[in-house]
Parts: sequence; C-alpha cells; structure tokens
Amino acid sequence: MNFNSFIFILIFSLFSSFKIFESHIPSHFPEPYIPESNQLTIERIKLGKKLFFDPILSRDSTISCSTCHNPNYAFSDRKIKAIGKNGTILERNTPTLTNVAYNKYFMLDGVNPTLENQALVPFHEKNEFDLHILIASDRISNNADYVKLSNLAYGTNPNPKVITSAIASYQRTLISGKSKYDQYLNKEIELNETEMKGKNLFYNELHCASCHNGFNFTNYSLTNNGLYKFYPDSGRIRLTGKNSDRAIFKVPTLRNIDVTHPYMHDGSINTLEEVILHYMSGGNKHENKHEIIQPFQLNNEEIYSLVSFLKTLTDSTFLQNH
Amino acid sequence: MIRNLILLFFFLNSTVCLSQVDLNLILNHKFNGDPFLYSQNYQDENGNAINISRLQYYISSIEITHDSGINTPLSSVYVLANGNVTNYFLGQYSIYNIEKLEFDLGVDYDANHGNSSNYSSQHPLGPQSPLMDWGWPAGYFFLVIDGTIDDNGDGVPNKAFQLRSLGDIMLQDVNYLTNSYESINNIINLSLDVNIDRWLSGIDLINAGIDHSSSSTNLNMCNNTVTNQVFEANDLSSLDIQQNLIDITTDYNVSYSPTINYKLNNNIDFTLSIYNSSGQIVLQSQNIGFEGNYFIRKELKSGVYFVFFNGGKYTYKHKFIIN
Repeated sequence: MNFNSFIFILIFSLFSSFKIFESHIPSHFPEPYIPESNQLTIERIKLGKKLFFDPILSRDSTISCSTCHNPNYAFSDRKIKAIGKNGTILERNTPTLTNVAYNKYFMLDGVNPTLENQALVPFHEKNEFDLHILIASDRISNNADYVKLSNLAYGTNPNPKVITSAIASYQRTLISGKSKYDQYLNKEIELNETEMKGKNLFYNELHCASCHNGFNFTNYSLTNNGLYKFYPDSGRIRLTGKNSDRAIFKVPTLRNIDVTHPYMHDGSINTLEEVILHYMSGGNKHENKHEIIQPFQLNNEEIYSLVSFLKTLTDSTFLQNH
Repeated sequence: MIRNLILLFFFLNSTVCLSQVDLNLILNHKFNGDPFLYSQNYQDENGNAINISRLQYYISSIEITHDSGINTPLSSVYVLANGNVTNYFLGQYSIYNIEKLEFDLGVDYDANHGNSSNYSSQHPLGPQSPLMDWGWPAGYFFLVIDGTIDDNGDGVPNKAFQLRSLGDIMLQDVNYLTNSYESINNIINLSLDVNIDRWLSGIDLINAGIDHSSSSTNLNMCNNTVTNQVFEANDLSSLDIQQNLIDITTDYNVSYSPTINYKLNNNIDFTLSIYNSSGQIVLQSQNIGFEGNYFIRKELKSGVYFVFFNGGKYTYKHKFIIN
C-alpha cells in the first residue's frame, strides 16, 4: 500500500466509516427493511440523491428520475401516464415514492422484487433513460464528483451496482409520517367534525381499510379493483402467465393521495370523488375482482367527508423538504 | 515416518492436480441440419424464408455423470450461449469419462430474481448487450430468438418477430443426453448439436410479433426444447464444418452502441479495430478470440463505421451504420 492509499483509507475510516444513517422514522411507524448488502449511510444517500435528480443518466441528458417522480407531487407527476424521452407517453401512471422503503415489491404489478432492481428499469427502457447501464456507469466515472462520492459511499469507483444501490438508498429515506392525521394520532391536534366523519366511514362503515390499512394505508396486496371488464394492460399475467394474475395490480398507499392525482394504474380517474364513485358502483365485472368490492351508497356530504379525511393524509413537510 | 507422509501427501496432491481436465461445451448451432449463420436465410417448417438475427439462451444447473456413475454438479456455472459462438469453457474438473449430461435451459429461481448489477459485465448474469435481463420484472430472458420472416411469399424475410421468453415457468430440464466423451490430452469437449428450427416448430412466426413475456407462444417455444429434442449429443465431426464459415453481423438492439457478432474461420486471437468514415480509429480491442459478441461500449455519433478483424495474416472487414 502506498502512502496516498493509506491516507485515503485513513480519512475514509475517520470521516465516513459507513456510518449508519439514522433516518427520522415516525414513532408510530415500524423500522423499514434495509438489505444487509446496502445499509444506509449518509454518503450513500447523498450519492443516490445526486443521481436521482441528475439527467446525466438519460441518453440525451434531458430527463432524470425526478422528472416523473417530482418531490412536489409526493414523487409522482400529476400526469395521466408518465412522459418519457422526447415526450413519449409511457404505458402507466407514475406511482408515488411515498414510504417506498416499506414496499414488498415494485412496479405497479408488483413483479419487481427490490428497490435496487427497480432502479435499473428506466435505464434500459427505450422511452425512458435509454442508456445502457454500463455506459451510464462510464459516464459518471468521467465525473470527479461522482468518483469521489462513489468511493466514499461504497469504497469503489462507479459501477452499475453502485448506481442502483445508491438510488435505492436515497429512495428509502422518502419517509412521510407528519401529515395532519399523524399529528392527530400523536394527540398533537384534533381533526374537525367532517374529517372525523370521513374517518368513521373509512374505518368503520365502508371496506376501505380492508385493503388500505396499517400505518401506510396499504396491505401491500395484489388484486383487481374492477376498473375495467377488459384491460388494455394485462398486469401481472405478463410475467407469470397465470390467469389468476390477469389485470392484477398493487394496492397503493393512500398517503399524500390528494397530491398524486390522477389515479389508478393508468391514470384514468382524475379526482378522489370520482374514485369513490367507482367503488360505489361496485366496479366492472372481472374474473379476478376482489370480492369485497360491492356496490354501496353514499350521499354528497358523506363523499365530501371521506375526501376530507383522505386529505388529512397529506404531509406538507414531506412535499417541501426533498 | 513423517517424511514418508509428507512425500505421500505431495504425491497424492500432484495426482489430483494432474487429473483435472479442461471441460468445454461445444454448441453446434444448426438450422434444418445446416450450420447456422446469422447472415444466412433459411426456411421454416411452412416453407417461409426466415432470418434469425439474434439467438441467445442460458444454460445452467449443469450436472455431469461420469466415471461409473459419479455425479458432479457445476452449480456455479452459467453459460450464456450465442448463435454465432461454438466454444464455451466450463472449468477444470476431475473427470475422465462422461456418461450423461443434464442441464437447464434458463436460470434457477434465485438467480432469476437477483440483480444483474451485482455481477461484472464479464459474468453471464451481469449486464449484457443486447440485454438478457429485463429490469421491469427483474428477470432474465431464458431464450431469445429474434428475426424476420417472409409473410407475403416473395421469398424475402421482412416481417420482424421477437420471441423473448421470460419467467420461471420457462425453465426446461434437459436430461436426455447420454453419450460417451473421453478425456484426450486433459481436454473433454462436450459436443452438442443445437437444432434451432426445432425451437420454432409449431410457432406462428408471421403473427408472433414482439413478444417479451410469459406468453403461451414463448412457453411453447421453450417446451420444444425437450419435446422436440433441440439439443442432441454428437461426435466432433460437425465442429470442423462450422469452423470454415465466416459470419459477421451487427446487432442494433442498443442503436447508438451496437454489438458486433463475429465468427471467423481461424482459431487464433484477433484484434478488433473500429474506424469512422474519415479513417480515424474510434475503438480498438485486442485478444478478442475468433468468435464472440463485441459490445461497442461507446456512444457513437451517426455515421458509417468499419470494423477490421486482424489476426496474423488474416483480415476481415465489416461495415455498420449508426442512424
């Protein structure tokens, strides 16, 4: 080992040392799963954040992860379907990254097993980054800042694993748990009468919480909600080949739902009121529709109350601080 | 006593070392019994002209029965086979006489749900170009057959199809290969014929289109591996025939940075040089062997380029265009 290497390792050990990043997990949240092979450190998060917002990762350097996952919209984009390279309309609505660290599987049909794997997806999609991961790796290897950050974060020069791991690390810090409803749970504030009525409908009178339950308002299951009789997007069956997976999609979190419109896997429903109307109708007939989705009645006041409750799930701190 | 034991140890150790042989897998790709070339057209089972522009597949979970029933699994070996590449080194093993060969077409569940970024680009499961892993489901294509087919009877294959099988259900257990291969000069060449046309039997290629999924079409293609016995054990005679054929093509799956598929007729190391139309060298790579798939890991500008393969007194030239 030469002197320079020794000094580098010494400095690396003193000031980086793979410090365990202590994310600010709300007290009523469980600890998210962090893979042993990619523990959080400040350096990894910093590198991941830089990559997340940097268009250098797209072929023509025009789009980044944040183009579709915009922090102001809880890391979604308010578009019916995502817009990719050269204005190309992609096939699905952009999902929020709110509390994505807790997800058990990724992509709207849940076919991707880890955040690290998911981070690879846009690179090779022709209408997204369209940049081979090896060439992306070469690109950032020519950038001194990235080389330095990569070595601090992972002890090596940039490579595909560094890129996907760092982006996943940053995404795991996107924790949202300071909404009005969270403050109510922590007995810091009260919900108003309308919001309380909506809460009662959500938890006690309707079946919303059968799927949208727990601290993150999702049971992480895969199901069909009767959006269509015939789906242009075949969903999970494309990977599994099983009829029971036809038109099957993930149950999403409802946190920050007011800012992540339009809704559904294809962005086909514009407002929360219309979403409620869809469920009131009992949805369309489909062989895989969840049995709990049955017609029900609500008056306008009740719809307003339910929407008011859903709006308490907006975490403005989360929207502003990233 | 101790001295004798030490001598015995060294004797046994050297014996074990000497018994290691190079194990090679030889895949003779054929179409309708003829040696397969990307640059050549064939006929499908319905008499339509067909051209295959990409043939790639994984072989894994290799198990070898040898020397009177000894079973040796090659569990860490993954082979990414390419239509233009015949020779694959599997490693060194203590094997003399092979009796049976088993393997899977595709990769096992754990590998299929792993992350290609965790491997180097030299590893078969690492990032490849053209891609063999598809990020969306985080899975590998087990078998890829891309090409064009004549759909109007003019004899010109111009309708594109892409059959890229995806999903754990595509895995095929190839366990019917029994043949005797003996070690000669510490080398065993496990030679197999790979009958590409049999993979496509019963597939409606004219209407297949672009199919990257677990569809019934892709499943039928993978199932043909066993039902139609795509792989056949053979002797080494057909290998000599294939080595007299030259095949150089360009794969544009990554349009700005294509892959050059090459199979040259000399078993010597070549140097690859890429020049632009002004005669300036843009890339050079040495010791690329005589067959392989060279990923031009560089963002090329639009224009005409020339690839030169130089090896000893042999030179081959190939042109490609970036639009």
